[in-house]
Amino acid sequence: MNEKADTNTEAGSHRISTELSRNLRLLHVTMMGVGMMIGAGVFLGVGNAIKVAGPGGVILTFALNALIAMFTAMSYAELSSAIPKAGGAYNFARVGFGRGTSFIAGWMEWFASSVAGSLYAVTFALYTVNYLSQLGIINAEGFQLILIEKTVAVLIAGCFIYINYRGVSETGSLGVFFTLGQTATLIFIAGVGVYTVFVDPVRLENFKPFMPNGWDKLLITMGFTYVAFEGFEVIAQAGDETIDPRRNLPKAMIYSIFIVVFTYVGVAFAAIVGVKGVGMAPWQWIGSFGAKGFGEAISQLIPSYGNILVAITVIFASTSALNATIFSATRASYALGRDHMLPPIFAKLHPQKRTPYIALLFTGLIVILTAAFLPTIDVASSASMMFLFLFFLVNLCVIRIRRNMRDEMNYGFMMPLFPMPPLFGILIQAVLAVWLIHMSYIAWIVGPVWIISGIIIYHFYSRHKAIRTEDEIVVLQEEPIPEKRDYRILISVANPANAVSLAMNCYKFCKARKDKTEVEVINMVPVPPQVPLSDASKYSQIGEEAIGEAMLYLSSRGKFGSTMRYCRSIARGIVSAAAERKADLLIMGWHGHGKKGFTLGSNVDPVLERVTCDVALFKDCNQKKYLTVLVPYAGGPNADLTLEVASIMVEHDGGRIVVFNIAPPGAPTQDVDAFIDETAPKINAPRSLFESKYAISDKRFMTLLEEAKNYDLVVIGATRESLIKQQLRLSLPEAFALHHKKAFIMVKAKRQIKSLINRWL
Amino acid sequence: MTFDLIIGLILLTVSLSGVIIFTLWSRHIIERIHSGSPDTSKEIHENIINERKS
Repeated sequence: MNEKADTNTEAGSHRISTELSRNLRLLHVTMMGVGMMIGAGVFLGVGNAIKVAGPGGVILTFALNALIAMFTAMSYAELSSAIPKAGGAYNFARVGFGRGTSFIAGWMEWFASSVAGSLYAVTFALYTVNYLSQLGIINAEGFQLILIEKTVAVLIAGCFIYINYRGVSETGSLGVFFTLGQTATLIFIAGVGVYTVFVDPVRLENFKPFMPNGWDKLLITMGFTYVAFEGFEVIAQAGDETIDPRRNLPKAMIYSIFIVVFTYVGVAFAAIVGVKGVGMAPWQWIGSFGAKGFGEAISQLIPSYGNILVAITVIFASTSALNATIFSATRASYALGRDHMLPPIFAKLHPQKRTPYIALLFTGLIVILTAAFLPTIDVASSASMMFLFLFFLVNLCVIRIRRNMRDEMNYGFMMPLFPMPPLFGILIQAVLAVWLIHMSYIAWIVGPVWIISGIIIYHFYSRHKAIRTEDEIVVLQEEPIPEKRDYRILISVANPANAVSLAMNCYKFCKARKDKTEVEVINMVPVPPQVPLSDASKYSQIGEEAIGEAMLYLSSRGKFGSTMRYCRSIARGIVSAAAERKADLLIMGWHGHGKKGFTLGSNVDPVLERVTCDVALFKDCNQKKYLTVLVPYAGGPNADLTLEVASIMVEHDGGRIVVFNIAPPGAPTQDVDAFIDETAPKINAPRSLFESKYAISDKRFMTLLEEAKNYDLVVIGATRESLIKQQLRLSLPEAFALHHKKAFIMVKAKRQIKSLINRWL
Repeated sequence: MTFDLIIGLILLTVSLSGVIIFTLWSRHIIERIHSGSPDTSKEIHENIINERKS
């Protein structure tokens, strides 16, 4: 889905439209939410909750919390579907109640995410140090052990703050992979628990007594573990980047609750039935380890590899959630600074790294101080309390907006039984917040102090300084992709240096198609995850210049469109832009050298692999005329396109195209002439342009490299091998691209079959 | 003890069933809205109420 931002920019005399790159699918956003939820709550929650509420209590804690969280999830879902813009609770409060409440929402969101980040850092430290202690690498007890745990927590937090400062926190498919891995591991543990009971039903006796400390303890543990259901905010924050957000955001919120509740109940069950023969009631034994109780229980359940399984899962879960919370918290404080509700320095971007480093610095301070000085239970309780307050506010917003602005909103989801779910949510969350005082009185000092200080700041500072931004809270109107008329070419320009040559070559394609083409020049503007995409105009200067250069050439030759697209990843932005526009051909430039860990580069490799239209990758194609063009031929799906591109690029008056086949000694050569005879009519090229040439050599790469030196231009088909295979063994076209010093074009014909996963999505 | 267990099982069943029902119900509403039949939020709301009554 393609949404136009409400601003256009000028480059020279040309008007450039801007848009947000939407490439997060339902699976991505659902997994973002699941990843945030699984980050720590279940690992810390099981041990602590069982200690307080007993074996039955811990199961009920997660199940009942899920039902309450579902009420709030529906509120978030309804609001996100109506206001699908990054900002989450901050935006909802702005629309529902105005600036004052929205400041408090942003202020709470900042703290809640930061404290959740501390919780993930602490979880990482507890389980890592515990595992190293079991291996005998760390031998410490008491205060010394706590000191080591705190040091590790601070170090890992510092590490991710630095990563965020560098602006290299890449999420997306890799994040989905990790979250799927964590969830699958937890489901596996739950499955082992069920199997254990199946073969040894006596283990169900571990549930006796069911509620040893009374039913009132349930409210305490529910409040304490509520942080385990805090993933909706991060899903709402992805509003600018999600495909079809009115449909996918609400679905992702609801699905994420569904996934985690069964996972949590399953692993809590497995932890309880996993313990046997410990000399005391299993629930007391697990509870005696406190926050580490879950890990100890799973070590009993799966003695051979339970330790390492839990350690690896916690490391992945807590670090990915820590990273996400740091940039989520930074984004919240950045937004407050941008709107002058906090001093504008919070919105200041680093001149080189382009990240909001001041906002990140203050976020980092909160994360590190909380992790360093608060006990684990108080960190978890404080995080839970802030999210309870935040969700309380969101439930109020949904009622108010539905009552007052229903007809103005374009809802993609409207909750059933309204207004009962948000009213239940408000009531029960208030009770849980009050009961939390029994778990941590410090949380009841930290939380209210933060909110009261926010009210004071608003009253004395923000109210007078805040810029009027009501008009920015626009519900972006989805613009349908215009109906495709003819052949559509997308030129991706990266910088002013290569823009003109790409435009010049693109124009040759237009002429070859006898002007039955639509051309759009597009520039990807990468924006760090800490900055909302809607604020990305600050990053667009180079793109404006590049588009300006290209349009200077093209605008005198016809009507061409241009767009700057704000994205998190250049490659994903290009792939999704080509798919949205149903492009027939994507034209890109390449600087001519690879990058460590990639074959042709971090942007080119994924584009070549994933884009679904034809691609032409140009290197050093600055000449106006090419008299001799070499086309290496070995059959394959790119052959026709290679010949077509060569016929477009060659000078028809006196030029020639040599189709070159190299066969190893003893192997049959391909029939190049037959291929030319068959293909030339299809691409409307005169047969006389083409010549065939054969070579026999067991050194195909060197032979090709030598032959290519005699030509003005080489047009070669890209490999069809996956990126992983290419990392293991460089294929011939890519090796040639890296070593050939003159002009060449690498082409790849569109894929006919999408992967099963893509089709499913 | 038995009483605790029975109440616990009832609460567990209710909460998990509630999650499942709300998930399916919400999905149904989202799909209906996006299938293009109701145009305004008022119509969506009325449809939801009518479904509940029937």
